[in-house]
Amino acid sequence: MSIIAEVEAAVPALRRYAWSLLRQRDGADDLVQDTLERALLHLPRLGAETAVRPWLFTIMHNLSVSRWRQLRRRARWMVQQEDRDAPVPAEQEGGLARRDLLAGLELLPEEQRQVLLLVTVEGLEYREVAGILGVPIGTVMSRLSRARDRLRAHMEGREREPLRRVK
Amino acid sequence: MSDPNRPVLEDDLHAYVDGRLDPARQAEVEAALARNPALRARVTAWRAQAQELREALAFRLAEPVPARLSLSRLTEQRLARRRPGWQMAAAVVLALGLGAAGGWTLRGPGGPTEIARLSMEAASAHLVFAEDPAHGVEVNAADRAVLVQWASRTMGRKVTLPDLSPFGYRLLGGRMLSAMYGPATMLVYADAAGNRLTVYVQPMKRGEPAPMRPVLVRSVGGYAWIKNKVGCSVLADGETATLHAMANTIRDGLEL
Repeated sequence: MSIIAEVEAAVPALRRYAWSLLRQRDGADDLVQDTLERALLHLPRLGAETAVRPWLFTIMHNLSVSRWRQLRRRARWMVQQEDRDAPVPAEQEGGLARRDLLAGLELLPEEQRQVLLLVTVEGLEYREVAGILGVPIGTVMSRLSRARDRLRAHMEGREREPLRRVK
Repeated sequence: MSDPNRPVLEDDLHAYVDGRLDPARQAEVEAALARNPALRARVTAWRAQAQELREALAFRLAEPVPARLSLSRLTEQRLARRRPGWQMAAAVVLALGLGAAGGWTLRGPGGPTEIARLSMEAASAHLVFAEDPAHGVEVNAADRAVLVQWASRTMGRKVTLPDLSPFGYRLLGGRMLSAMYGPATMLVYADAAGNRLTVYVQPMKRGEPAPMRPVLVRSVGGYAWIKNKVGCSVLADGETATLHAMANTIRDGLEL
């Protein structure tokens, strides 16, 4: 596969990751577009041995660091004003549990959410995630532990809640 | 080597959930989980949550990609944005060249005119060559001796190449260019992120000293000056915090 085809193939995953972090469609696609433009600019100088997917996620991460807070602030504000992107189509099976899962995801600190998404959803290796985020691999592992335990607690709390109310 | 007595670490649990263990270690982790129900519950929950996350976000992956994220379209836009820039710059250089040939050249107060032409030629060279991976650099940095020879011939004296490593830029190479009054040398540098910077030098015909002044041609910005009958410019794409400092260093140190 040519590099350009690899980039093209990664676009849906970049959109998914951007959206998972921003939860706002236009802002997410803006970020993806900026990422692709930057990737095209640097593509000719890319070493043959570079793994394209982690490289793209790295560009997106670096771009987002400066714009992230601003985008997220705007995203939050818009969500309050209008309607946030529905996490899942309402009629989809298991929609409620998924909505709750995504709500739990959103409650995680950003640095934990990034690691959890890159590892579980994007299927990147731990060392790749460390490279993308620019942190040691040990930091990736400890963030992953905290993210997983917190999300578990969130989901289990949700299950127990109705029982407590019955009492 | 796998050791059955090696304790199961937190990292192993994650690698187990993410399917990144070799079969031997996986069996060891499974044995440990079988002995420890609390651990097993934790890992089972992690694995279920990973699966659910993938499913919950799968619909984003299945969506058609909007046209504005099409790579062919972005490539076209990129080319369309670039082309008019350097074509215009080249046209201006050409027009100045014709003016000179026609004998009604800009004689006036030589300084500003010369530095304006120098700036435009340097910016044009930057736009055409700095980002071009295949032809941007004619001689790469490994052949430093050749570059020194070139630059020395351009300048008519022995020179050394500016060292920008304190600013995080390394030399990629250089090329010879023909400018209005003779040869020019362009050196191409890059920082760790691949951002290009060019140093362009040329002996000036009149060579009236001109103080350093900013240059801005489309996305290319930097500084140009004329000193000791040598015109020099330092240019980069976009904003570079240290560009002015680099220009000062090159001007003041100027062995080139």
